[in-house]
Amino acid sequence: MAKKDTQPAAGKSGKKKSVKATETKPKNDEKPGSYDPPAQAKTSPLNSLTGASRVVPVLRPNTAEIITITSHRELAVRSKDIEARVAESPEFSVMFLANPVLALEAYGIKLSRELQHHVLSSLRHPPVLRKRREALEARLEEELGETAQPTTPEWMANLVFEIRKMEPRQIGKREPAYRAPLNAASIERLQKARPKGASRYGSDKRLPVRFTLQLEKPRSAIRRMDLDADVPALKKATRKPARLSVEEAWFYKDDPIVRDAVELGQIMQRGFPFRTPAEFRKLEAAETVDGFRRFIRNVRVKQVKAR
Amino acid sequence: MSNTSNFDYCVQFGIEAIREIFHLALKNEDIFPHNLPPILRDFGGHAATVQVRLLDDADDPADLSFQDEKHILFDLPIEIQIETPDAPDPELSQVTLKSTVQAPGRVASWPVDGEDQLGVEFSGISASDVQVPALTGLPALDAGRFEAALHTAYVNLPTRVFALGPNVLTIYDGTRDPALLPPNAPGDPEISATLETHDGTQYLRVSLPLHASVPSAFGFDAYGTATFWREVQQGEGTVRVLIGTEPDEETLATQIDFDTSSLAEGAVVAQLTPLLVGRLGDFGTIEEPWFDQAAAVSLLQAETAAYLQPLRFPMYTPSSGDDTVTLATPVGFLLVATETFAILMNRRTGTEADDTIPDDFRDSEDLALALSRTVLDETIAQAIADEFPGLSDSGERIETDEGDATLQSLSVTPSDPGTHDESEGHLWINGEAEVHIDCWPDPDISFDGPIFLRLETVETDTECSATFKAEMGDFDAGQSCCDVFVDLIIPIVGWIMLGVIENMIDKVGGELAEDFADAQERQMQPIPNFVVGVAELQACLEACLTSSQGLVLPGKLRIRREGLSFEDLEAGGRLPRP
Repeated sequence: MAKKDTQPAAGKSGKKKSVKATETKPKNDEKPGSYDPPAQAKTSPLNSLTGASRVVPVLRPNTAEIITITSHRELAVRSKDIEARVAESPEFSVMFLANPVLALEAYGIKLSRELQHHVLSSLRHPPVLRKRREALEARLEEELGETAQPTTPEWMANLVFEIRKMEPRQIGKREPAYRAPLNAASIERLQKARPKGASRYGSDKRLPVRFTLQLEKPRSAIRRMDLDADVPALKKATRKPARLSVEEAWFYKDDPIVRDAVELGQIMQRGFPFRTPAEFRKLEAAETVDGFRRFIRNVRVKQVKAR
Repeated sequence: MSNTSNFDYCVQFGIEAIREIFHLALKNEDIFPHNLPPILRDFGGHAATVQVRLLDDADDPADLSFQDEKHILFDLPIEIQIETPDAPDPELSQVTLKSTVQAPGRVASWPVDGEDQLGVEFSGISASDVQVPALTGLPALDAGRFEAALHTAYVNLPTRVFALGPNVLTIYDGTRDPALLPPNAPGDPEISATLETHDGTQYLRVSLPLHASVPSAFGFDAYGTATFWREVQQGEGTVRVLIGTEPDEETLATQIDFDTSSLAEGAVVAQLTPLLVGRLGDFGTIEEPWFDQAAAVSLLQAETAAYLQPLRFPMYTPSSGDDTVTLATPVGFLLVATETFAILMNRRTGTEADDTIPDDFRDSEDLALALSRTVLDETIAQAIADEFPGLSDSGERIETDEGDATLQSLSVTPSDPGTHDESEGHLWINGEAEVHIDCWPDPDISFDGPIFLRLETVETDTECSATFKAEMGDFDAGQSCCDVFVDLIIPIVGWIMLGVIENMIDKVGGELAEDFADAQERQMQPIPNFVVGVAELQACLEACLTSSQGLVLPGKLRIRREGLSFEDLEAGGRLPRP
């Protein structure tokens, strides 16, 4: 769930209104090295963000000499130069988290197209997820005869209702099942540590109003969407929706192909969100702010040690 | 100076809440008896019964203001009725003095059933502490009262006929002695009196009808009038006129005038005046209960102090509800400038002698609860140690499906609005981590940023439901890696802070429900919901403000009378039936 505060910060009242940002199409599934802003960029969540006040533009490193790297070995050999250049302009290093290939270019390090692909695909997912994604992509392509695009709602709706011929279901405001947060054990411990209650003043209370306090429910993070949970029984809907998000498609995962598509969509959305060049420039200029620009001060890369 | 001074927690109320509690306390006859048993006093030798009444109604409202950091100045409408059955002047037999006196009460704590409660007590009050700014019911001093007393004294005279050899002087007072011969002059003149002031001293000028018979003075026989002046003395709750004491001033010497002229008149006057003056002492001293301004003020001061001394009323009565658990003693301070009553709980450092007045953090809210920076820091430090024990060693390895990292340092600092370019107070997180990636030495990252703690409250006539939120600084959290970051930090922060707030409510004497739905929503009373025997309170917290001082949770307060009111009985159809 994308959420962004666009209201001025609260005053002493501490009451701050927040508005939900538009649900967004993930941007992290671009082809490596394909940096042209996609058509959806104008409606990208990044474009809708206003820069946080404390996030300022980062100065581009002053690099006179361009180093071109075309092989893994060369990349390792040049790691000392990369470390030195980043150390000279540490402020810009936060842009590695927006797109490491574009950040390296700004530091005067130009990678070959093959290396760009390698770097981005290596960083997008850890090995386990990368392998699972590749397996799912291959299986769906074999099954469907086309490249799966599960993060595209129209494609997903077409898969569910036209290709798999499933009946539409009344989802309403239901949400998929989600796994416990990362730190569920800690939360359980903290819950147990809450002070015990007791009736201290008896029940002879006449003021009708009672004060209740609760914690905001955990966000429905797609990374925790539970693919092993059962789909609830749903009534048949009268109309087929033209679009299905990955979360909505979860309610059709009793079909094995749809399940694979949902899992692939989930993995794709869990990937490192590399920015397009246009988005990169806006982040660099602090015209837009993402979590990394907001919270990461710098990244210190290290040189590859000789074995 | 701080929100909580040398304590862990502080609850602050506005003066309006204190006024409401006070008015409800005033309705409790056990706490503020409105009609005391009669008190016996002696005024000028006259036994008097003094009745003290405390008022608080639309015509005579009680009130209070904050005098200093430990005293509340009460405006108390007091009525004192003095009855002197044997007063010479029947009109003076009952005097009712009334004033809205001002008396200071001290904020103090005292034990009740093993737990300390906080309130106001008057044990140290003395008469001089009571101010009487205005007074009504003071009797007016007029000659008529003395005339009445003189009439009474005349009746009680042993004789009204004074003889000096063959000469006889008879004094009259209307027909009060019909046996006198000769009888009173036509018209039966009475003793009369007026008040006069000479050289700043008040005198009673008395006209006394008389008759003189002096055979040796050419058979002098005439009615006349004696005029004499006597000083009016006031003080110590009495007024007195010593009829037997002639003033020294020649102009105020006793005079006798006869109705008919005679050559012998001068000789007769010279002879009989000493006789009369010598016998006027038989009238004795006219002495009556009397309250001039000073005496009345003094009496009110003394009786008010005596009335208040044994009294005290509670204003904050926390209880653990468990005999084995004793809550800390609430310590009260008054913030005069902002009309705020501050209650400190859980002394962190020092002793009572080290207690200092806290800052005002209530602003314009009905009430506010504050948690100290020390408690917040301790909680955060403990949480970090529990969550990331590796930080004390070589770092805490964090493994997720999206990637692994080693957290090397983490700090969380409660920060003021305006710091870190944030206009809202926040927790500022700061740390270092090593991110584990493929095909390259793991880079180190430094991070920092704000977490906002917010309370969103929905309040209706029947509901006050607050949702606590921990939120990262403004950015799009919909991206996967940030999502992991948020997932890691925010729920933990939320639960920690919920625990902090619940602990605070527990420690300040609030009430937490034993059961709560879904391990989440919990009913609670943020402060003790009763002032024992006086009022029922209900607080609704409306915000959570973070600053370098800790946390502040302001809110609203509802107060109603404890016990059943007329309206309660009426609503329940339980009014007494004829």
